Amino acid sequence: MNHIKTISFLFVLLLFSCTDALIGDEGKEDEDIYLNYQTITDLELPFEEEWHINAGGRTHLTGGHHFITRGSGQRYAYDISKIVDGNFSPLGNGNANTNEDVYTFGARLNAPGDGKIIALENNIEDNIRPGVINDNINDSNLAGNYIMIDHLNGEYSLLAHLKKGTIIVAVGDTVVKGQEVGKVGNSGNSTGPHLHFHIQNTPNYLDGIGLPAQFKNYYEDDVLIENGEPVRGQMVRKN
Amino acid sequence: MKIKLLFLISIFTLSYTSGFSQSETNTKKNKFEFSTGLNSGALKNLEFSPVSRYDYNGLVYKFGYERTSKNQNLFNVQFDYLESELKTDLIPVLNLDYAKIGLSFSYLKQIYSENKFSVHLGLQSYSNLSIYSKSDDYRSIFNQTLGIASQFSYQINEKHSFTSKLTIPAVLFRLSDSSADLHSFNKYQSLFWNIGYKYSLSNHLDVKLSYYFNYDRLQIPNAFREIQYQLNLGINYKF
Repeated sequence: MNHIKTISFLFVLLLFSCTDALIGDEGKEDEDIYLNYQTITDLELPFEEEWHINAGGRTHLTGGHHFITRGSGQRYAYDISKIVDGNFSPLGNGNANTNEDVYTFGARLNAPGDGKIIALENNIEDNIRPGVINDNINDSNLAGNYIMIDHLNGEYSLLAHLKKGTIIVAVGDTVVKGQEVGKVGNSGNSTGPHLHFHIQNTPNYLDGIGLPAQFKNYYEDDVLIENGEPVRGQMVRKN
Repeated sequence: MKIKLLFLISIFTLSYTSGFSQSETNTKKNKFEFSTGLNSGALKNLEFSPVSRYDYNGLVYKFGYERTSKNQNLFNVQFDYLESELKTDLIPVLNLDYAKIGLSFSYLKQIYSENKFSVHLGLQSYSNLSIYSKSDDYRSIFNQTLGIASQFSYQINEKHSFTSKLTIPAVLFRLSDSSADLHSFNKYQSLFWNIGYKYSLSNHLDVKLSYYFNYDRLQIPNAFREIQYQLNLGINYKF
């Protein structure tokens, strides 16, 4: 009988007393960011004309980056492509054989907000064609050619997968919102020409906690959004 | 359906309680075990969700085989399957389906035996695949651990016995969609513990009531914590 009492006591003790302590508080900051974060930087969409949100949003289904780690800052990242008449390519969707067949490849990119260029890479070969990632892409160059902008307020923007040799700013330059900085490419861990954009809370390359990016004054399916977060499937333009 | 299955097993085992003779001696060396029960757990996985704690409940199924050698050493194989839903009231839009499939092997050598009490010590390997899914999108994480296991057994009398098994994994290999890493005690702490009461129905059948406790902690930027409590009812077939 004593055995049963002892076992029962241990069971009840384990079941009710230690779950909170063992799970711990890590992630509370992430929850707070999810629920309450307001982007500090005055952001505008970093491209001209109308583009399609391939991935973006706060859920697992819309965001596409929720599953790709908190520690790389990508939780609220966007993948965005230029679309004309519903097609990614003048050859029709699924028919692009080269990067040049895709509307997005070579499209102009702007600084999304005021800040200072603190890091960039401009010499990685673009992937040879859509759907193929070059053999030399590894954990150290997943973003391919990229620009990191310090908005001088604790927020850092990363524009990734740019076209080799097209970045026209240098580390240390000050940029203003809307200023051209480079062109879209297909470099790094990219399965086709597109822009990867996210903001994070550290200046380090693919490191830190991702922050929601709220853009000011853009059109979503021809409706003016004064302050919003584009979501997968939407067509957006800045004017 | 699952509840019905649990009921059927309960009825089946209870009916055998009064139906079998207890006169034969218990010398069988092989044992198949099937058990099912309730799992209550909590999970934090910042790799895929900005949620500090999910809670989940569900049914767990276990199938096992154990062989006892001439020297009373134990070889055990166990397969387990859990299906549930990860829930958080704070951000319910991030709730997910959750399934976990596990396979363990252990070999335990008897190091002490006196009267009704025996102690075994050995190694245990445990592999599991956790699947997180939402609609048609899913991600999985594979874990492989290797640890030290010990088992304490106490035979109260011919019919009644208690067993407790404690396993402390020493190394973890973890493979996810974004990383493949090896961790040991400095970053990974884990513990498996179960305690079971067994009632011998006959020379061929036992019923067993078990409590399982499992805790995993991985101290990396994508913090991972999981705690599981299980209460299982099972039946053993000895031959």
